[in-house]
Amino acid sequence: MNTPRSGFRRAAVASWTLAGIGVAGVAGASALAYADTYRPPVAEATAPEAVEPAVVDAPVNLPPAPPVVLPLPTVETPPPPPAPEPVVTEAPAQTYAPKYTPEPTYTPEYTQAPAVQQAPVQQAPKSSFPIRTTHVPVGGGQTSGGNSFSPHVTISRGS
Amino acid sequence: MTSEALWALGRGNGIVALAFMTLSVSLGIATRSGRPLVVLPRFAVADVHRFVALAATLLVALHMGLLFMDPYAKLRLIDFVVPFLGHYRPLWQGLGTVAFDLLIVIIVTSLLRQRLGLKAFRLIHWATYALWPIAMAHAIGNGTDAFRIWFLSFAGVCGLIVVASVVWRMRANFTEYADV
Repeated sequence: MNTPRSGFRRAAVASWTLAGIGVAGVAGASALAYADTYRPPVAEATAPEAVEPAVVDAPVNLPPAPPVVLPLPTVETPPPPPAPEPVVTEAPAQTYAPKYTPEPTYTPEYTQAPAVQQAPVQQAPKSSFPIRTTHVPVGGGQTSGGNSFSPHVTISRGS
Repeated sequence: MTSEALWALGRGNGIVALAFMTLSVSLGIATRSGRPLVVLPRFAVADVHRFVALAATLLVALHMGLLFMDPYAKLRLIDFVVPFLGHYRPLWQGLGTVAFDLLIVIIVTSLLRQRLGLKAFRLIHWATYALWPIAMAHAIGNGTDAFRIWFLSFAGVCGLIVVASVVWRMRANFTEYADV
């Protein structure tokens, strides 16, 4: 019967059948890709000397490993001459020899004491009359004959 | 072991996605012919074509996501969109990116078919004829097991189906009512 309902049903059946085939296809293709990519480890029953341990369990057909920065190719240089055997030289033993230095003898030198230069005495400005500054009697006031810097004044009282 | 499993699963998803794309191209051509296909009426052919195309898109997304998690592939997010930037076989990987970009454009325009109009939709849908060979080139060039006998058989069958469909498409009596 070619009714629209049957048509939709057939379409659904076909679609989900394809979906199932797709799932199975993913599983199968993944298994094939995995079998190509991953080699199972060789059983230990095989001759152990024929199995290289570095190759066993190595994945194949993988995309390349991340790029490794290799050093730039350099011009081959002859191998450097073998380094001479290191000569072990003992460090010179330092012997401790105490040096006794003579005790310095103290010889006092009498030198003339440096003359202390004193500041120059400021001279009093010369006045118009002489002021006695020497032989000044110590102590006392004007009446007792002490230091009196008052100039002698002669008062003329007329004739 | 996990990285090998991710790589193998991603590769398996990509292979089945290619198979679904092949089927989608053929079903699309069958839809365009307007003829029933075996037990499927005409509208059911279009329905299955849509389902298969969306399943292929889902498988492509799984393929990319699994390889994104694979530490060997070293995919970056920009490699999903911008082609030819990859570290590993950039040309072939870039073809995969181009195919993905085309696929996104085709799927989006198909979903917006009512808004775009039939003429624009058909014009853009012609890009599927470019998408399929680009995807196949990506599968052969980028796959590590591309020259295994099982993969070559699979690719040969896919190629035969597409070539036969295209040859049928170019025949004069392709559409059911061409001579009416």
